[in-house]
Amino acid sequence: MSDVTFKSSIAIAETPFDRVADKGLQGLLASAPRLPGWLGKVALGLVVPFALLALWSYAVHQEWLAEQILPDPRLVYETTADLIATGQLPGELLVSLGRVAAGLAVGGGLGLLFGLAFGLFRPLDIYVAPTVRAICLVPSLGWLPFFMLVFGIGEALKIILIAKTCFLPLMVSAYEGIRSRPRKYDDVARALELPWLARVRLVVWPSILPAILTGVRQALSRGWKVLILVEMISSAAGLGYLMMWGRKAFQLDVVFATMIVIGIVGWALDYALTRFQHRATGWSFKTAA
Amino acid sequence: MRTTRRTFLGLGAAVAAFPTTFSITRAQSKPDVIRLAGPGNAAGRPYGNGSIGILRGLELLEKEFEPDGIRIEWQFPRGTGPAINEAFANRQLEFASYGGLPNIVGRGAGVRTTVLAASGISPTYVGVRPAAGIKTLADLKGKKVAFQRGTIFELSLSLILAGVGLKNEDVQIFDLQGADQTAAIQSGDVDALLGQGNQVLALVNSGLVEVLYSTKGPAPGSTFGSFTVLDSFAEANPEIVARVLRAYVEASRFASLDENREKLYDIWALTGSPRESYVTDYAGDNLGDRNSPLLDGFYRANIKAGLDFTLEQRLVRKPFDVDEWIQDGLLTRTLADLGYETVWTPREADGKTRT
Repeated sequence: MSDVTFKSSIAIAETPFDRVADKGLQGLLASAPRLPGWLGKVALGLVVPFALLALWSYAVHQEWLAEQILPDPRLVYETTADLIATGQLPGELLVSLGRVAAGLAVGGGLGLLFGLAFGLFRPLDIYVAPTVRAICLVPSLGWLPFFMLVFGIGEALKIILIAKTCFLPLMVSAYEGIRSRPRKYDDVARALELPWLARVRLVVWPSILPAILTGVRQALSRGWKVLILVEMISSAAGLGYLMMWGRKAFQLDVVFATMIVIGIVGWALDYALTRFQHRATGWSFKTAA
Repeated sequence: MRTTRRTFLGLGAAVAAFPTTFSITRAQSKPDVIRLAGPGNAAGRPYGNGSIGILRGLELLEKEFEPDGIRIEWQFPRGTGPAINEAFANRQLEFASYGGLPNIVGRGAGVRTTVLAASGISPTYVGVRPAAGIKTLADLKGKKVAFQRGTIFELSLSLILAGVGLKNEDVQIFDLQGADQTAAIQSGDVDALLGQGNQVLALVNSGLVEVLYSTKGPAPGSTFGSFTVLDSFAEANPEIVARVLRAYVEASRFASLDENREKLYDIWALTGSPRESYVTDYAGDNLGDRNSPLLDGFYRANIKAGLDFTLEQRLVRKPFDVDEWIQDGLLTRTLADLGYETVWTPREADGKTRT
């Protein structure tokens, strides 16, 4: 149902680009008549992945790269199926998802708190925020050697690095959400003489929610990327570990299988969050116009 | 820009046509560079250990090929064996001397190489953090052990643990590169590490670890390796391969003579590992035993054991013919040419020499 919301939001937005894109989409869809709409969309969505697969097969067939470096897609498919059947891939995936969830909860939660605090209290914003931002702007990889010495190479290191990555997007989005909130909402709340709690619950929170959800999406996608990195450096479990092991064992089909799973899972997480965002804060897209 | 079906199709056609613009040309004339590799060190400069390090240190190849105008390029990647396999598969290397296990894994994965000579053997050291309370090998059960995975230490650990009835699965293995191993030992995150003398003994000198066990002697678990050449290069340049092998055998002989002992330590110390770590590592050892290039019964037994292990661990999925991989004809001829037939004594599978 949220799909309807999405469509109508575009219809209302009616920016020139959307109109052209919509037309192009319809033009292409016309070439596949008598199919239910969603099926056509799925088919269209698969065009690029399949083209990529075809290019890959062609590259393997033509031996552009050594077979040990660019494995046959069929071998990758078999390896993936094998890794799923033996339960290794789902196991590593669960480990990785657990780490991301923990990192997002800790880092994102703290980022949200800090962002709200900076947005609400001017002195904090002036005196504390620049330092926090500067610390966050040192890339996670830059912190790694130091973190490794302090926190060791165990589970703590991974979760702290993911948390650090998730912190900034949520801090910024919460802060921006508060700062760029239309003032008229407060005027309305004041006119209605809402009590403080009701004002926060009914006016302030919903008005910053779209920004926060965007922050969560960003945090998740960055956290997912950094997770793989951390797992590649020091780990005995997780998708990044499986990938590194595939490389060490010189089985690039395992590396490719992991890459595909990382990509699909990362995309699915982002897609699910986007759908949730449209469902929860679909109104904000309409008012954006 | 309007996105229409026509532009979409046009783009698709362009993508489809793209591959045909490629053409692979392979020059068959004399190469202008010969690239060699050996395992890199945890820290320090890119020089090598063992015979390959001596080959570089004495600059035998540079002198040999200078008249031909052929450059010599050396690579000692920190990623050690697995990185060398990748370079071989990418045709970025012609020769390499590296650990038996990645060597076998690379060949098992279909990288077409041939063994020309052995790399010699080297003891494996198990270093433990003094505070970890590990007094015997059996104490390693359940402990955290660090080394670079996919290297020969995989096999070494298995053989060392087998001596006390344990398996690799009985310890927690952490896949760390050299510098990270030091950090992890320092922070107490791992309890033990596996490595060669120059790495572990350097840490002993700085007081970070104690040697729990070493395979000096040698005992099962010592590292071994092969000097290999990429087949496509060997087929196109048989004469160059013979000259490179000749220089390699010369270097092995230099590394096997006791009168050169002090000079050898000086050359190996170029890697940046402390000189004393090599002195301790080689103390009491017969240099000829350590740096023998012979493809004898001992070498073959090691390779066969390595292949069995990699098959069991599914590091290699298709077995291959070891005897076809190891070509000792050229080595035998080279030894005869140089008059070095008696420098090294062939060993039996158990490592003992025939009497």
